[in-house]
Amino acid sequence: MAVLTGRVSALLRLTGIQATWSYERMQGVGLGSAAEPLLRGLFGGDGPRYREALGRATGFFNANPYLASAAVGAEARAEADGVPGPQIERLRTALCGPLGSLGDRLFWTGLVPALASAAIVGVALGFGVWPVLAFVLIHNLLRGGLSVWLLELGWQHGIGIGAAISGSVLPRASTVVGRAAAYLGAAMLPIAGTWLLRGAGRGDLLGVIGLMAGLLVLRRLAGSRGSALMLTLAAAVAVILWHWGTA
Amino acid sequence: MIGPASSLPLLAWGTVVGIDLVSFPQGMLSRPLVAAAVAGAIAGDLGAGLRVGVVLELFALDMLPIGASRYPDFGPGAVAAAALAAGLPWHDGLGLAALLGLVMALVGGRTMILLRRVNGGRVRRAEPALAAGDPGTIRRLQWQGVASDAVRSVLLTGLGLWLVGPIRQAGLALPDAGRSLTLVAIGGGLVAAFVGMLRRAGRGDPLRWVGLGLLTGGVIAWLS
Repeated sequence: MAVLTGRVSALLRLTGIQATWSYERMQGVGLGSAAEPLLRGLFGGDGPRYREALGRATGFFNANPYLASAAVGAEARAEADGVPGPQIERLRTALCGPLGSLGDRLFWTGLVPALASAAIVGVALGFGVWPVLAFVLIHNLLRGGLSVWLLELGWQHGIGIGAAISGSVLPRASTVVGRAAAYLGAAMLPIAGTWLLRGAGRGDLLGVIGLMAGLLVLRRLAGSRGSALMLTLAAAVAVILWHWGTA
Repeated sequence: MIGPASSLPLLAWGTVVGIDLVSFPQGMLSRPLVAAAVAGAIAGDLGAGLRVGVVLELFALDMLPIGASRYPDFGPGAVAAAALAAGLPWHDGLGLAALLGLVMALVGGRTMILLRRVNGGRVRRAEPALAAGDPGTIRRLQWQGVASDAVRSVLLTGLGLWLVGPIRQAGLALPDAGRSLTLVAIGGGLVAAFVGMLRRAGRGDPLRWVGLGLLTGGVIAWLS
């Protein structure tokens, strides 16, 4: 069995997997960059097998960047096992969907909002900048650990990586962090609101409640066309114009 | 005002957080809470940075920065917003700062689309070398991508920091507007975070956790 070398370099390069993100290949060039040290270790730095595998590795790819190490490990293993090129390309394409949706549930709708909400609660409760630093530290420790583990999993299972991920702890973990995000996101709202509005008078509080009710109704009416951000900017412009007119 | 001693570090920090969003290393430095907190510390007012960061983070919690979707870039704008709020009474400065941060986030989102097109042009021109598996071409493209994002981020942060002075002057001209804008920013942020949370939770089981969270948060807020 081939020996995998260049793990550290591959993992470091994975942090820049989206540096050349484009609408054509999306993360393809970044994936090729991360796979390069592994392929160099497997085939040497300049042979036809190395060049052929590297050319394949830069093809279209798009998934959650934090889970992409599974694809890098699996592709390296498939190349080492001599799997035909078209089958490797199909493997990478097939991994885009599962690694994208699982990673987005795990990070973008789970871990990140959960940690950000917890950090806001910490700031509002008077812990200063420490909750913010903890947010960054915990996220990067989990993300780094996951990348290392998934690279190994990909290397161990090769073209069977999809089944290995399905049978792993990750789908269950995404459910758990989704619940944590729902709980912490909801708990954060009254705490942050109380902190931000501390010292506000009765009239100010009634004004904010009225504004929030109005924004929620407008958001509902406007659907996807009217984000809370755009509606808030519109309200801010109205406030400025009103003050301008009465100044 | 931003002194010369802090403007260069703020510009450097804004560049770092701008690159962090997508290019490298996606380590959550670009989250507005993180970007604004550090910027507040650089500008000499950590408290202002934390408040601006919390308000902008509430808006960021309504966004999903996923793949090819278009989303705001909060980082450089959060740096400029924290610089604007530094030293001002928070109830007057927070709204103006949040407004600057939100507008800059939208501008930043547009520049991301431009960057992707520039990357696409480079990749298209390098197609033959990529197909031939040339490692030098891959390395060059990656570095060019990061460098282009650095240029985008430094320009975006520079624009935001340049706007701090005129916006402060405008705020002084309309002193009553500052407090109203602060209330609008807080209310809008809470709505954004609430809507984003409901969308992520969907239906069924997570909604129970939302209810439990609101109850817990309400009790803690009442006690604090």
